[in-house]
Amino acid sequence: MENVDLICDTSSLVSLTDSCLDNILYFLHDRFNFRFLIPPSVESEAITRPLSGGLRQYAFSALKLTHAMNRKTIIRVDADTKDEANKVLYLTNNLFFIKGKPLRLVHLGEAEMIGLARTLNLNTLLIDERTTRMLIEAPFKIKEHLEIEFGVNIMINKENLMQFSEFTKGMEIIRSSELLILAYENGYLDNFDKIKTSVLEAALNKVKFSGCAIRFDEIQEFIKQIK
Amino acid sequence: MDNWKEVASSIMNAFDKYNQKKLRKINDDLLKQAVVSFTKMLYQLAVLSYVLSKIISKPRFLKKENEVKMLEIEKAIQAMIQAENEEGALNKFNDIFEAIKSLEKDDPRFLIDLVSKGRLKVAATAYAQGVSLGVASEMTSMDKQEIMDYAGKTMMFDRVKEEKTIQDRVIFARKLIRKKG
Repeated sequence: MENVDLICDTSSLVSLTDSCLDNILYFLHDRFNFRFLIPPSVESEAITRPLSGGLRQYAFSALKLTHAMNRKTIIRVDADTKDEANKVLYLTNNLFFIKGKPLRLVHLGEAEMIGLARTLNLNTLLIDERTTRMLIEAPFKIKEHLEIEFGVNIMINKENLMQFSEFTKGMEIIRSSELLILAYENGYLDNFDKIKTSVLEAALNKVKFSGCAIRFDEIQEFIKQIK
Repeated sequence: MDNWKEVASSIMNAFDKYNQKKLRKINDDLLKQAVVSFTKMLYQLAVLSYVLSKIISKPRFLKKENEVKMLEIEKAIQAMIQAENEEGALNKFNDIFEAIKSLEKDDPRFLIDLVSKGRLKVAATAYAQGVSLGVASEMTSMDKQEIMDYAGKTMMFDRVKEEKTIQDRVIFARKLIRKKG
C-alpha cells in the first residue's frame, strides 16, 4: 500500500496532543498509511525539550509523541536541508520592509520544514502556525495584516517574493483541524453515534483553544454544512 | 537602543503614579518596535512595563504590608536607570524581576509568575502582530507550547481572514485518501 507522507511542524503536533486527539495520527496511519514526517528540530521542540527541560505541563504530550515515534507513525527525517532552509530563511526574512528595515518573520525550524518538503519532493504540509502558512499561501494577506498592525506602509521585495513562491510552488497545507475532519469522515468518531457531529464541533473548538490557527466562523461554517 | 534611559524613566514615572494606562501604552509601543528591530533592552522594557501595569492593577499588591517590597522594586528600577551603559542596565533586570517575584512569594495565586506571564504576553503579541511562532519563541525564550496555549485562548486568529477556506483544505485532504484508492 502506498504511503501518504505529510511534513509536520511542531505546532500541529502540539495542538493534537494538547487536545488529546493524537489517536488520529494512529487512526490515519493504520487505515490509510499516513506517515507524519518531522525534521530533527521538531523532535527537539516537541519532545526533547519538554522532557529534558522540566516543562512539566508539556511532558505528557511529549511522551505521547515519543510513543508515536516508537510506533513509526511519526518519523524523524535526517535529510540534509541546510541549503534549502537557508534559502527559505533568506527569502522570507527579506520579503517585507518597514521604513527600509527587513522584517524577520521566519525562524530556522520553520524554514527547515519547508526545506525538508522541497528536498523530499513532498507537497503536503501539516501546519497549525499562522505566519508560515500564510507566507506560502497568501503573502499579500500577511502584508495587509502587518500594515494594519503597524499602521505604516510595508514595502515588498518582489524578486524575493517571486523566488519564494517558486520554491513553495505546489505545496498544500492542512491543519490539525482538517486532519480531524478527515478522520471524522472516515469513522473516527462513530462511537459517539447521534452526537458525533457535536463531538466534532467540540473537538474542532478544542484544537483552536490549543493553538491551531483557525477561526470560529470557519468551524461554524463547516459544521453547518454537515448538520 | 538609544533612548532606553528615557523609556525606563517613563516606566518608572508611570509606576510611581499608578498610571496603568500609560504603562500599557508604553508596552504597546515597545512591542511594535521589538518586532521591527528586536533588542534585548526593548524586550526587557516591554516585559517590565507589562508586569508593572499588572502589579498596580491588583489591590492586594498595593496593601500596606507590601510597601517595603514595592519600594524594593522601585529601588531596583532606579538602579537600572542609573547604570552607566546599556549593558550595565541589562544586568540590573535580574534584580528587578527578583524583587517582583518576592512580592508574589507570600501569596502565590498562579503556577506561572508575573514575570513569566509578561514574557509570554510579549511572545504572543509578537506572534499576533505577524512574526512566526518560531521567531516569537526565540525572541522571548518562551516555548512554542506556552505561546500556542496563550494564543489559542485569544481572538488573534479570528482577526485575520485567510484566502483558503476550511472547505478548500478539506477537499485537498480528502484527495490524499482518494489518491490511494
